[in-house]
Amino acid sequence: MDTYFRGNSHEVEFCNSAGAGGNHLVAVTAAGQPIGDGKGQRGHVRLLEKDLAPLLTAFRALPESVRKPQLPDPNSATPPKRPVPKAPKNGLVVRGYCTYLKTDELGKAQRAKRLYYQQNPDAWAAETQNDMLWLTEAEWRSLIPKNGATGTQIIVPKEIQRRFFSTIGIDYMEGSVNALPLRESTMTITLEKPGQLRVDGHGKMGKASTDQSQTDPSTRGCELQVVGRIDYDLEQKKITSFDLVGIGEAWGNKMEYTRREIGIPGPRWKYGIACELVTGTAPEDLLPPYNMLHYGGKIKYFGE
Amino acid sequence: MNPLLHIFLPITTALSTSALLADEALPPVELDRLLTLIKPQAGESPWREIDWLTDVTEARQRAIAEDKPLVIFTAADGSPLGRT
Repeated sequence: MDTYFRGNSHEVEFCNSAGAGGNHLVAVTAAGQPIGDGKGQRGHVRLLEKDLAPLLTAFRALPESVRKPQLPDPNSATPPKRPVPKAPKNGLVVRGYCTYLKTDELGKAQRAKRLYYQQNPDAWAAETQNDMLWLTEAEWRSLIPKNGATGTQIIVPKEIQRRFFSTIGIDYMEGSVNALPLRESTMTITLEKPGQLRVDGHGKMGKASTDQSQTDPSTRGCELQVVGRIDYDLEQKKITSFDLVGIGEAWGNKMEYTRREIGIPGPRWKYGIACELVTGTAPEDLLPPYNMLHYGGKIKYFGE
Repeated sequence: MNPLLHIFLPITTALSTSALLADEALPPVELDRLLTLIKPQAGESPWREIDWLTDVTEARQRAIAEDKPLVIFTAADGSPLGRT
Protein backbone atom coordinates (compact mmCIF):
# COMPACT_ATOMS: atom_id res chain seq x y z
CA MET A 1 0.00 0.00 0.00
CA ASP A 2 1.17 3.49 -0.86
CA THR A 3 0.93 5.59 2.31
CA TYR A 4 -0.53 8.47 0.33
CA PHE A 5 -3.28 6.34 -1.21
CA ARG A 6 -4.80 4.40 1.65
CA GLY A 7 -8.38 4.59 0.46
CA ASN A 8 -11.67 6.03 1.69
CA SER A 9 -12.29 7.52 5.13
CA HIS A 10 -12.98 4.14 6.77
CA GLU A 11 -9.84 2.67 5.26
CA VAL A 12 -7.68 5.59 6.33
CA GLU A 13 -9.10 5.39 9.83
CA PHE A 14 -8.34 1.69 9.92
CA CYS A 15 -4.78 2.26 8.72
CA ASN A 16 -4.21 4.95 11.32
CA SER A 17 -5.51 2.64 14.04
CA ALA A 18 -3.25 -0.11 12.75
CA GLY A 19 -0.22 2.15 12.52
CA ALA A 20 -0.02 1.28 8.83
CA GLY A 21 1.97 3.91 7.00
CA GLY A 22 5.52 4.79 6.11
CA ASN A 23 8.04 2.10 5.31
CA HIS A 24 6.77 -0.59 7.67
CA LEU A 25 4.99 -3.85 8.20
CA VAL A 26 2.39 -4.26 10.91
CA ALA A 27 0.35 -7.27 11.98
CA VAL A 28 -3.19 -6.41 13.09
CA THR A 29 -6.73 -7.68 13.43
CA ALA A 30 -9.41 -6.69 10.95
CA ALA A 31 -10.32 -3.93 13.40
CA GLY A 32 -6.85 -2.46 13.22
CA GLN A 33 -5.75 -3.65 16.64
CA PRO A 34 -2.05 -4.53 16.78
CA ILE A 35 -1.51 -8.17 17.63
CA GLY A 36 0.49 -9.24 20.62
CA ASP A 37 1.54 -6.56 23.06
CA GLY A 38 1.39 -4.00 20.24
CA LYS A 39 4.98 -3.01 20.86
CA GLY A 40 7.77 -3.48 18.39
CA GLN A 41 5.40 -3.49 15.42
CA ARG A 42 6.57 -0.81 13.02
CA GLY A 43 10.08 -1.57 11.96
CA HIS A 44 10.17 -4.88 13.77
CA VAL A 45 7.61 -7.08 12.05
CA ARG A 46 9.33 -8.89 9.24
CA LEU A 47 8.20 -11.51 6.76
CA LEU A 48 9.99 -14.23 8.65
CA GLU A 49 8.38 -17.21 10.31
CA LYS A 50 10.13 -16.49 13.59
CA ASP A 51 8.54 -13.02 13.66
CA LEU A 52 5.10 -13.98 12.44
CA ALA A 53 4.49 -17.30 14.22
CA PRO A 54 4.20 -15.76 17.71
CA LEU A 55 1.84 -13.12 16.35
CA LEU A 56 -0.36 -15.81 14.83
CA THR A 57 -0.46 -17.60 18.18
CA ALA A 58 -1.43 -14.36 19.89
CA PHE A 59 -4.15 -13.74 17.31
CA ARG A 60 -5.68 -17.17 17.81
CA ALA A 61 -5.86 -16.53 21.55
CA LEU A 62 -8.02 -13.45 21.05
CA PRO A 63 -11.79 -13.62 21.60
CA GLU A 64 -13.81 -14.21 18.44
CA SER A 65 -15.46 -10.83 18.83
CA VAL A 66 -12.02 -9.23 18.54
CA ARG A 67 -10.83 -11.46 15.71
CA LYS A 68 -14.04 -10.89 13.73
CA PRO A 69 -15.19 -7.34 14.35
CA GLN A 70 -18.20 -5.68 12.85
CA LEU A 71 -17.10 -3.47 9.98
CA PRO A 72 -18.72 -0.07 9.39
CA ASP A 73 -21.23 0.40 6.60
CA PRO A 74 -19.07 1.10 3.51
CA ASN A 75 -21.80 3.40 2.19
CA SER A 76 -21.06 5.78 5.02
CA ALA A 77 -17.41 6.23 3.98
CA THR A 78 -16.16 9.44 2.43
CA PRO A 79 -14.49 8.72 -0.94
CA PRO A 80 -10.68 8.87 -1.10
CA LYS A 81 -9.18 12.35 -1.22
CA ARG A 82 -6.67 11.01 -3.72
CA PRO A 83 -8.14 8.15 -5.73
CA VAL A 84 -5.69 5.82 -7.40
CA PRO A 85 -5.56 6.68 -11.11
CA LYS A 86 -6.61 4.11 -13.65
CA ALA A 87 -4.87 3.35 -16.92
CA PRO A 88 -6.26 5.17 -19.99
CA LYS A 89 -9.16 3.41 -21.66
CA ASN A 90 -7.81 1.11 -24.40
CA GLY A 91 -4.37 2.33 -23.43
CA LEU A 92 -1.16 0.35 -23.32
CA VAL A 93 0.32 -0.75 -19.99
CA VAL A 94 4.00 -1.62 -19.88
CA ARG A 95 5.97 -2.83 -16.90
CA GLY A 96 9.58 -1.71 -16.64
CA TYR A 97 12.37 -3.26 -14.62
CA CYS A 98 15.65 -1.76 -13.48
CA THR A 99 18.74 -3.38 -12.09
CA TYR A 100 22.42 -2.67 -11.61
CA LEU A 101 24.83 -4.04 -14.19
CA LYS A 102 28.55 -4.45 -14.59
CA THR A 103 30.80 -5.37 -17.45
CA ASP A 104 32.52 -8.73 -17.21
CA GLU A 105 36.04 -9.57 -18.34
CA LEU A 106 34.74 -10.25 -21.83
CA GLY A 107 33.03 -6.89 -21.99
CA LYS A 108 29.51 -8.31 -21.70
CA ALA A 109 26.83 -6.82 -19.48
CA GLN A 110 26.07 -8.88 -16.36
CA ARG A 111 24.00 -8.24 -13.25
CA ALA A 112 25.87 -6.50 -10.44
CA LYS A 113 25.09 -7.29 -6.83
CA ARG A 114 24.90 -4.15 -4.75
CA LEU A 115 24.27 -4.07 -1.03
CA TYR A 116 22.27 -1.62 1.01
CA TYR A 117 23.88 -0.44 4.21
CA GLN A 118 27.07 -2.40 3.93
CA GLN A 119 27.98 -1.66 7.53
CA ASN A 120 24.78 -3.30 8.69
CA PRO A 121 25.17 -7.03 9.45
CA ASP A 122 21.73 -7.53 7.94
CA ALA A 123 22.83 -5.89 4.69
CA TRP A 124 20.81 -7.22 1.79
CA ALA A 125 21.22 -7.00 -1.94
CA ALA A 126 19.32 -4.34 -3.85
CA GLU A 127 16.41 -6.06 -5.59
CA THR A 128 15.29 -5.47 -9.16
CA GLN A 129 12.96 -2.49 -9.19
CA ASN A 130 9.85 -2.24 -11.29
CA ASP A 131 7.60 0.56 -12.46
CA MET A 132 4.88 1.14 -15.02
CA LEU A 133 4.54 3.10 -18.24
CA TRP A 134 1.13 4.10 -19.56
CA LEU A 135 0.39 5.11 -23.13
CA THR A 136 -2.96 6.33 -24.38
CA GLU A 137 -4.68 4.55 -27.22
CA ALA A 138 -3.72 7.29 -29.67
CA GLU A 139 -0.12 7.09 -28.52
CA TRP A 140 0.38 3.36 -28.95
CA ARG A 141 -1.43 3.40 -32.29
CA SER A 142 1.05 6.05 -33.43
CA LEU A 143 3.83 3.47 -33.02
CA ILE A 144 2.45 1.25 -35.76
CA PRO A 145 3.53 2.41 -39.23
CA LYS A 146 0.66 3.09 -41.58
CA ASN A 147 2.87 2.11 -44.49
CA GLY A 148 3.17 -1.67 -44.38
CA ALA A 149 6.35 -1.91 -46.44
CA THR A 150 9.22 -3.75 -44.75
CA GLY A 151 11.91 -1.29 -43.74
CA THR A 152 9.50 1.57 -43.15
CA GLN A 153 10.74 3.78 -40.35
CA ILE A 154 8.92 6.20 -38.12
CA ILE A 155 10.15 8.47 -35.39
CA VAL A 156 8.54 7.80 -32.01
CA PRO A 157 6.59 10.91 -30.96
CA LYS A 158 8.58 13.22 -28.71
CA GLU A 159 6.07 13.00 -25.85
CA ILE A 160 6.43 9.22 -25.71
CA GLN A 161 10.21 9.51 -25.80
CA ARG A 162 10.11 12.03 -22.98
CA ARG A 163 7.85 9.92 -20.79
CA PHE A 164 9.80 6.73 -21.43
CA PHE A 165 13.32 8.06 -20.94
CA SER A 166 12.50 10.42 -18.07
CA THR A 167 10.62 7.91 -15.91
CA ILE A 168 11.46 4.27 -16.61
CA GLY A 169 14.58 4.93 -18.67
CA ILE A 170 16.52 6.34 -15.73
CA ASP A 171 18.30 4.49 -12.96
CA TYR A 172 15.54 4.21 -10.35
CA MET A 173 17.09 1.53 -8.22
CA GLU A 174 16.89 3.89 -5.26
CA GLY A 175 13.13 3.90 -5.63
CA SER A 176 11.84 7.28 -4.58
CA VAL A 177 13.73 9.42 -7.07
CA ASN A 178 12.58 12.21 -9.34
CA ALA A 179 11.95 11.78 -13.00
CA LEU A 180 14.86 13.31 -14.88
CA PRO A 181 14.40 15.93 -17.60
CA LEU A 182 15.24 14.63 -21.04
CA ARG A 183 18.14 16.56 -22.56
CA GLU A 184 18.14 14.84 -25.90
CA SER A 185 16.91 11.59 -27.39
CA THR A 186 16.28 9.57 -30.49
CA MET A 187 13.86 6.68 -30.87
CA THR A 188 12.88 5.08 -34.14
CA ILE A 189 10.65 2.21 -35.09
CA THR A 190 11.44 0.03 -38.06
CA LEU A 191 9.00 -2.40 -39.66
CA GLU A 192 11.03 -5.64 -39.74
CA LYS A 193 8.26 -7.75 -41.19
CA PRO A 194 4.46 -7.67 -41.08
CA GLY A 195 3.44 -7.64 -37.42
CA GLN A 196 6.89 -6.99 -36.01
CA LEU A 197 8.65 -3.74 -35.25
CA ARG A 198 12.16 -3.02 -34.05
CA VAL A 199 12.82 -0.15 -31.65
CA ASP A 200 16.16 1.65 -31.43
CA GLY A 201 16.81 4.57 -29.18
CA HIS A 202 19.20 6.63 -27.16
CA GLY A 203 18.50 9.11 -24.39
CA LYS A 204 20.38 11.55 -22.23
CA MET A 205 18.62 12.46 -19.02
CA GLY A 206 19.31 14.86 -16.20
CA LYS A 207 22.61 16.64 -15.86
CA ALA A 208 25.64 15.95 -18.00
CA SER A 209 28.43 14.00 -16.33
CA THR A 210 31.34 16.06 -14.98
CA ASP A 211 34.28 15.54 -12.66
CA GLN A 212 32.19 17.00 -9.84
CA SER A 213 29.15 14.77 -10.36
CA GLN A 214 29.95 12.64 -7.34
CA THR A 215 30.38 15.53 -4.92
CA ASP A 216 28.34 18.49 -6.08
CA PRO A 217 24.59 18.69 -5.37
CA SER A 218 21.90 18.21 -8.01
CA THR A 219 24.09 16.23 -10.38
CA ARG A 220 21.97 13.19 -11.23
CA GLY A 221 22.10 12.08 -14.82
CA CYS A 222 21.86 9.02 -17.02
CA GLU A 223 22.50 7.97 -20.57
CA LEU A 224 20.74 4.95 -22.07
CA GLN A 225 20.88 2.89 -25.25
CA VAL A 226 17.71 1.02 -26.09
CA VAL A 227 16.70 -1.80 -28.40
CA GLY A 228 13.35 -3.53 -28.53
CA ARG A 229 10.78 -5.55 -30.36
CA ILE A 230 7.06 -4.81 -30.62
CA ASP A 231 4.69 -7.40 -32.04
CA TYR A 232 1.23 -6.45 -33.19
CA ASP A 233 -1.76 -8.37 -34.46
CA LEU A 234 -2.58 -7.21 -37.98
CA GLU A 235 -6.19 -8.33 -37.87
CA GLN A 236 -7.10 -7.17 -34.39
CA LYS A 237 -4.84 -4.12 -34.77
CA LYS A 238 -3.40 -4.34 -31.27
CA ILE A 239 0.02 -4.73 -29.74
CA THR A 240 0.61 -8.25 -28.44
CA SER A 241 4.10 -7.90 -26.99
CA PHE A 242 6.42 -5.07 -26.04
CA ASP A 243 9.95 -6.23 -25.28
CA LEU A 244 12.54 -3.56 -24.75
CA VAL A 245 15.91 -3.42 -23.04
CA GLY A 246 18.32 -0.62 -22.29
CA ILE A 247 21.90 -0.46 -21.13
CA GLY A 248 23.00 2.74 -19.50
CA GLU A 249 25.31 4.60 -17.23
CA ALA A 250 24.27 6.81 -14.35
CA TRP A 251 26.03 9.34 -12.16
CA GLY A 252 25.28 11.85 -9.48
CA ASN A 253 25.77 12.64 -5.83
CA LYS A 254 23.91 9.75 -4.16
CA MET A 255 24.46 11.07 -0.68
CA GLU A 256 22.93 14.38 -1.69
CA TYR A 257 19.71 13.03 -3.08
CA THR A 258 19.15 9.84 -1.14
CA ARG A 259 21.05 10.56 2.05
CA ARG A 260 22.34 7.02 2.11
CA GLU A 261 24.93 4.96 0.41
CA ILE A 262 24.27 1.90 -1.64
CA GLY A 263 27.98 1.36 -1.93
CA ILE A 264 28.61 1.70 -5.63
CA PRO A 265 32.26 2.30 -6.41
CA GLY A 266 33.26 5.03 -8.78
CA PRO A 267 31.60 8.19 -10.03
CA ARG A 268 29.61 6.34 -12.74
CA TRP A 269 27.79 3.04 -12.63
CA LYS A 270 26.03 0.82 -15.09
CA TYR A 271 22.36 -0.09 -15.03
CA GLY A 272 19.89 -1.86 -17.23
CA ILE A 273 16.19 -1.54 -17.90
CA ALA A 274 13.77 -4.02 -19.44
CA CYS A 275 10.12 -3.68 -20.45
CA GLU A 276 7.24 -6.05 -21.05
CA LEU A 277 3.59 -5.74 -21.99
CA VAL A 278 1.06 -6.01 -19.15
CA THR A 279 -2.39 -7.36 -19.87
CA GLY A 280 -3.37 -8.81 -16.50
CA THR A 281 -5.49 -7.40 -13.71
CA ALA A 282 -3.52 -8.56 -10.67
CA PRO A 283 -2.96 -5.83 -8.07
CA GLU A 284 0.58 -5.22 -9.27
CA ASP A 285 -0.67 -4.83 -12.85
CA LEU A 286 -2.98 -1.98 -11.87
CA LEU A 287 -0.39 0.20 -10.14
CA PRO A 288 -0.01 3.66 -11.63
CA PRO A 289 3.39 4.78 -12.88
CA TYR A 290 5.49 6.01 -10.00
CA ASN A 291 6.27 9.48 -11.32
CA MET A 292 2.62 10.08 -12.11
CA LEU A 293 2.05 10.23 -8.38
CA HIS A 294 5.43 11.03 -6.85
CA TYR A 295 8.41 13.16 -7.78
CA GLY A 296 7.25 13.69 -11.31
CA GLY A 297 8.48 17.23 -11.44
CA LYS A 298 6.55 20.02 -13.05
CA ILE A 299 5.84 18.13 -16.24
CA LYS A 300 2.45 16.40 -16.34
CA TYR A 301 2.67 12.66 -16.91
CA PHE A 302 0.72 12.78 -20.18
CA GLY A 303 2.25 16.06 -21.21
CA GLU A 304 0.63 19.46 -21.55
CA MET B 1 0.57 -22.92 3.52
CA ASN B 2 1.06 -19.54 5.08
CA PRO B 3 -1.83 -19.09 7.52
CA LEU B 4 -1.66 -15.34 7.54
CA LEU B 5 -3.80 -13.24 5.26
CA HIS B 6 -1.76 -10.51 3.66
CA ILE B 7 -3.10 -7.20 2.65
CA PHE B 8 -2.14 -5.05 -0.09
CA LEU B 9 -0.71 -6.40 -1.62
CA PRO B 10 24.24 -12.97 -28.76
CA ILE B 11 24.64 -13.65 -28.93
CA THR B 12 28.31 -12.98 -28.41
CA THR B 13 28.64 -9.32 -29.20
CA ALA B 14 30.67 -7.75 -26.43
CA LEU B 15 29.31 -4.64 -24.82
CA SER B 16 32.38 -2.68 -23.96
CA THR B 17 32.26 0.45 -21.88
CA SER B 18 32.82 2.56 -24.95
CA ALA B 19 29.83 0.94 -26.67
CA LEU B 20 27.56 1.99 -23.81
CA LEU B 21 28.07 5.63 -24.54
CA ALA B 22 28.65 5.52 -28.27
CA ASP B 23 26.09 6.53 -30.82
CA GLU B 24 26.21 2.93 -31.95
CA ALA B 25 22.90 1.21 -31.31
CA LEU B 26 22.50 -1.86 -29.13
CA PRO B 27 22.59 -4.98 -31.32
CA PRO B 28 19.09 -6.46 -31.61
CA VAL B 29 20.49 -9.94 -31.17
CA GLU B 30 21.23 -9.06 -27.53
CA LEU B 31 17.56 -8.38 -26.80
CA ASP B 32 16.51 -11.79 -25.51
CA ARG B 33 19.65 -12.31 -23.42
CA LEU B 34 19.31 -8.89 -21.81
CA LEU B 35 15.58 -9.36 -21.16
CA THR B 36 16.39 -12.49 -19.17
CA LEU B 37 19.35 -10.84 -17.48
CA ILE B 38 17.58 -7.68 -16.34
CA LYS B 39 14.16 -9.01 -15.35
CA PRO B 40 13.83 -10.31 -11.77
CA GLN B 41 15.74 -13.51 -11.19
CA ALA B 42 14.14 -16.64 -9.77
CA GLY B 43 14.07 -16.49 -5.98
CA GLU B 44 15.30 -12.90 -5.88
CA SER B 45 12.30 -11.50 -4.03
CA PRO B 46 10.36 -14.29 -2.27
CA TRP B 47 8.08 -11.76 -0.59
CA ARG B 48 6.66 -10.86 -4.01
CA GLU B 49 5.32 -14.38 -4.37
CA ILE B 50 2.82 -13.75 -1.58
CA ASP B 51 -0.72 -13.28 -2.83
CA TRP B 52 -0.95 -9.64 -1.78
CA LEU B 53 -4.17 -7.67 -1.83
CA THR B 54 -4.30 -3.91 -2.37
CA ASP B 55 -7.92 -3.22 -1.37
CA VAL B 56 -8.14 -2.51 2.35
CA THR B 57 -11.84 -3.25 2.68
CA GLU B 58 -11.60 -6.47 0.71
CA ALA B 59 -8.72 -7.59 2.90
CA ARG B 60 -10.58 -6.83 6.12
CA GLN B 61 -13.64 -8.72 4.89
CA ARG B 62 -11.53 -11.73 3.96
CA ALA B 63 -9.71 -11.61 7.26
CA ILE B 64 -13.02 -11.82 9.09
CA ALA B 65 -14.44 -14.50 6.79
CA GLU B 66 -11.30 -16.63 7.05
CA ASP B 67 -10.57 -15.81 10.71
CA LYS B 68 -7.08 -14.57 9.96
CA PRO B 69 -4.94 -11.61 10.97
CA LEU B 70 -3.59 -9.07 8.55
CA VAL B 71 -0.03 -8.14 7.68
CA ILE B 72 0.02 -4.70 6.14
CA PHE B 73 3.05 -3.63 4.13
CA THR B 74 3.24 0.08 3.39
CA ALA B 75 5.79 2.31 1.72
CA ALA B 76 6.20 6.01 2.29
CA ASP B 77 6.14 6.91 -1.40
CA GLY B 78 4.81 4.34 -3.79
CA SER B 79 3.55 0.82 -3.42
CA PRO B 80 5.87 -1.97 -2.23
CA LEU B 81 4.69 -3.91 -5.28
CA GLY B 82 6.01 -1.18 -7.55
CA ARG B 83 8.83 1.30 -7.25
CA THR B 84 9.54 2.64 -3.82
